[in-house]
Amino acid sequence: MSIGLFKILISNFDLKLWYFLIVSAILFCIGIFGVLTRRNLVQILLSIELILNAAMVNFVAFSAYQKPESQLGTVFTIFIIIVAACEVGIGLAIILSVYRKKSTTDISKINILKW
Amino acid sequence: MSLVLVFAALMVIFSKHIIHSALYLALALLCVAIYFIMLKSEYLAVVQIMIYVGAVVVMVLFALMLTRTRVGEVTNITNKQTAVSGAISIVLLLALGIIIYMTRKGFTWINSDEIPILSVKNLGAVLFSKYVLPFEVISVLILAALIGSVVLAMKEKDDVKKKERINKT
Repeated sequence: MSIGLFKILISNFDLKLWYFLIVSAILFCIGIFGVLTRRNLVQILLSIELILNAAMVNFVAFSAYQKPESQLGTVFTIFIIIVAACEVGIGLAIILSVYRKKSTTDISKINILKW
Repeated sequence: MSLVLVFAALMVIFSKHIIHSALYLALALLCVAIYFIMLKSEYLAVVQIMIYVGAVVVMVLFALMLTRTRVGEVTNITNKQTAVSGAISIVLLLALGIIIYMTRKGFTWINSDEIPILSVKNLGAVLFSKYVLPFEVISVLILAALIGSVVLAMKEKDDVKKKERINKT
């Protein structure tokens, strides 16, 4: 079943590595743009997720096209997923405590470090 | 496929309500899972759907609920750096695209139909023999993140006492 799905997806057209690289570069740049421009804290966290996903696609693509039997990309991507999940948990806890103190999640209004 | 992914990622950034952007993030993560299937690592696709779409998006929605972001409210405002950061990201994208296009023949060692489908058994053997030390370190990291998020999200006792005192007087 799954092999048939792979054949439908892949063997019709020969996928090159640079296709995945271009897609992950686009995803990375959209994430960078989001981190730089948004003002809501949760939105910045979502953009960081996009950047991490671009990195994951890159790792798996390079591993699959160069040395698939070593499984290095898969192992690395599992670690990235774990670290991203930890980061989201900690980040949302920080956002919650900031919201409790300042009752806003707008980063232009959180200026207690400024004088 | 890539069009759907790019559309979802753009909507994560540009949609007006933040709840919509969280839901579009789920769509983008599902597209990344399909990319993993195209690269013949099924296990990663399953992990991606379970952890990201299942846990991370739900956690973000919970945080939105707790910070009382209403559905109708437009919360998604940009700051003044939009032009500069847009220029930075477009230049970065162009540079990456040019580099990838110039070196596109160099780093492909095998064709896409020669990628083997490796089993989860093989992955487990690799993970617990060669990469066992990073595995243990990351388990300590998970424990630290768990305790840290609980401590951060806990209500401070002094604040509660102060509020009670204010209410009494």
